[in-house]
Amino acid sequence: MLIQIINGIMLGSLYGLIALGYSLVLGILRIFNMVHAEVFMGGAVLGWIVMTKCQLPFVLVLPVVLVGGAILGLMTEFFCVRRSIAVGSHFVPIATTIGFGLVLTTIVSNWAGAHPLPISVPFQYTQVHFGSASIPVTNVIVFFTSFLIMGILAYFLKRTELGLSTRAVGENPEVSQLLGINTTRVIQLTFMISSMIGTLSGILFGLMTGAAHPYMGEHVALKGICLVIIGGMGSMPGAVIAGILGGIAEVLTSVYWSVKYADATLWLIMFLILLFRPLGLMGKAEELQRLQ
Amino acid sequence: MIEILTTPLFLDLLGINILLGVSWYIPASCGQFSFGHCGLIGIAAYLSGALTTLFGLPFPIAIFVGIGVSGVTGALFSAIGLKSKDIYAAIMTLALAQIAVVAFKAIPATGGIMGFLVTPKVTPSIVWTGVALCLLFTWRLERSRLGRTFEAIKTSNIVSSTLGLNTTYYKILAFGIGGGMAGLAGVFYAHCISWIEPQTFTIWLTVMSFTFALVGGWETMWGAVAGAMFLTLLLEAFRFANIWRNLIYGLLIMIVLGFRPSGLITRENVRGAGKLFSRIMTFRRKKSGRNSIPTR
Amino acid sequence: MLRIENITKHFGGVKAVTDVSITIDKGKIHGLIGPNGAGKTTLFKLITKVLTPDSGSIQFKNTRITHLPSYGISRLGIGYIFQESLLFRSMSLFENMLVCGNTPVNSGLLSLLPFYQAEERNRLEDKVREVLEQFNLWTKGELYPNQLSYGDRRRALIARGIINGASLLLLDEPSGGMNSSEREELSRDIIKLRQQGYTIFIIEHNLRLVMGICDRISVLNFGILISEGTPSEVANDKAVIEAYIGTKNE
Repeated sequence: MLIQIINGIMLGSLYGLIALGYSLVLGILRIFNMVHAEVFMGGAVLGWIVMTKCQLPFVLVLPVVLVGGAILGLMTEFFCVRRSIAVGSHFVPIATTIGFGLVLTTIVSNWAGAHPLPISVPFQYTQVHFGSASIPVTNVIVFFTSFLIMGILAYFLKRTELGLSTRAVGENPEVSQLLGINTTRVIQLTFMISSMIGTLSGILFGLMTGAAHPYMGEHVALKGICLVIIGGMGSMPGAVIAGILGGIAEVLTSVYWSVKYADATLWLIMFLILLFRPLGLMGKAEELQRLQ
Repeated sequence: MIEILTTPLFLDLLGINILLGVSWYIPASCGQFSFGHCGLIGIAAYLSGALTTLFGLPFPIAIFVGIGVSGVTGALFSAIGLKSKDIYAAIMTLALAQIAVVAFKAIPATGGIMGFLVTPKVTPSIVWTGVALCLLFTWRLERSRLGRTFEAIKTSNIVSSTLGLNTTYYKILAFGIGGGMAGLAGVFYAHCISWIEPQTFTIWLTVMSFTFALVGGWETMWGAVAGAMFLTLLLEAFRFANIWRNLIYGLLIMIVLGFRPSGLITRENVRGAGKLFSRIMTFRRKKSGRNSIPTR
Repeated sequence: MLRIENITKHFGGVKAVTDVSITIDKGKIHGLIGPNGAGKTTLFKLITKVLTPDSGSIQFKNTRITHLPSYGISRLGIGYIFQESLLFRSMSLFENMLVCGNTPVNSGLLSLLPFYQAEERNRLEDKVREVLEQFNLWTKGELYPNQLSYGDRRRALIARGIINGASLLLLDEPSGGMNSSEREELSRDIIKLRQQGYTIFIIEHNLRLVMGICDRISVLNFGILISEGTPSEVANDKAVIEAYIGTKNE
């Protein structure tokens, strides 16, 4: 049982990372970035391109994935969101990002086919041993990397000048502009960071499961949204905690009940939260007010 | 290609698409994003199909049941979400969309995953009568106090509350009306393509609906109508590029809405067209002094 | 008319409003002043239920309103005009005035019927005309909000509150952004409203305006009521002067 919980925590750390990508844009810009799922898929596909198609060394994956994420983030900001923010619409970005997601999915599936794209790493089958039990080393890597990324993001937001500017823009864009902050650049940066987190989570997922798939994003997207709500909208720590709990719940449900019901449990929890505690685990009332 | 445009199937689908667009537009006119439209369409389609084919009930009853159940379901799901905030209503409709497909697959009586055949066939005259009635209703809605209330709530929820409007009630009403209209579309759809299966009612149907409404212009009903007509014709013309269909939709949404968030047809356009129309009419009439600029 | 008793609202570590009690008499203009961040806007939000108080109660015309939702409070006759209030851009000034939930005219599905409630609607339109004329805005009825001056827009918001059946008006910094002639017009409009029997509770930073029109003034600092009385009493209160040291006086 303990080993399943550990597996759950490792899967959950990844879910937390995905939820964090959503939460960042939601908290700062009050926008649901629906293309995050396809950015996630893009990360895994980039990993496949680098390692399997081009047979390049594993070490090159990181810069490619980061650059890819940054580019996707900038494209999202420019094509989907810029004008909508200018006119103050929080409604339209939902549709434009869904549209962008469609574009990405079609391009990838028409180019690479609808079959899973294998991602193989030299250490794919290595196991780490805890006494009698063993865990794939990929899971362990995913776990530590996820927390590393979360830590970097937290440090960035809390301790750096740029992070402070980002939070200021999230609080009040007009006043931030009056204080000399270049809100456009900050918004671009927010999307870049969120998308880089997206592509990184994608490649980590690819490592864990050993494959990429053009439609893998959709499945994970819905989970991410559920988790953001469970954790409390506007709360980034909440998203992470919800992710971890979600991972544990999913693993335990798959093992002790049936794989089919794993997704349903997440939706059920979200339902209950919406009915009885709409703020989510860590949401604050004022944050919810702002999202109106 | 002209031959295709006059087949009953095409005419039916064109009418249904217009209904899809306008039914999505109604909650949008109150500031609500409905993800669950596909579920509402599916519920009505399955119900109508089952009632007519499996239980032998007459078609008109099936229509009313379809509209009623979809309307109530839409209202119910949004109400659960609206207990807290707007965006939760949208998420609840997303949940609805997911649940609906799963539910459809699970019902053995309607063929489960395989789907089933629906017998009464619907004719373009029936479909377009329905479309005309819905358009009339929506037109009336836009120009009424209720329409103005929707617009007020869309612009600012808080200010509307301070004006004594129970915004939650109106949002639920918007979802209910939009849901009912989607139900009508669902009923027509079932009796048009005759073979309905769970796969038809995935989130893609919602994407189609909001593409029509948003790209066409979501400030007035005419945007949804124009969007539905334009896109249906466009996709018929590009039939050969079916695998790129999603790409075209996605690009249209991104480019049009990304640079013109209110969609192609705005209120200004409609007002301008209305003024032009009335100017032509008064010129023809030769009677002066008639104020024909419409105000609500 | 309005009795606020021991209202408290804390946000985590921030004590926005602590144990504030204020009584506002009918037909009077009551001012609320205090340095920035003193909790004045928060208090208004607590009255209108945009925020929910942690403890305390509020009574309007001797009925408890603390448990009612925002729209319920508006329907009882409290009109709230605040900094983010706006006229709906897509409607003309006249149409803006017609948006109200506090009239017998139905705003629901029945309003789709063409001849339904014709008399009530006409009465509403007459009332709109009356109020807009009082505010000198009737001639601008067909204009859209972006064609109106800033001062006209703010006063139109007050007009809309009145059409909506308000007997108590909560005005949160109504003169913000106005030039001196617009402010003069605003003062005159508010005094005229008092003459007509409306009760007004007003937050203002412009002390000259406040001292000029208010019958009584309450002063908040750090969420606590530090003084209350007539304008001259408050102006000479040491505690008030201390609270304002460093703030520019008008």
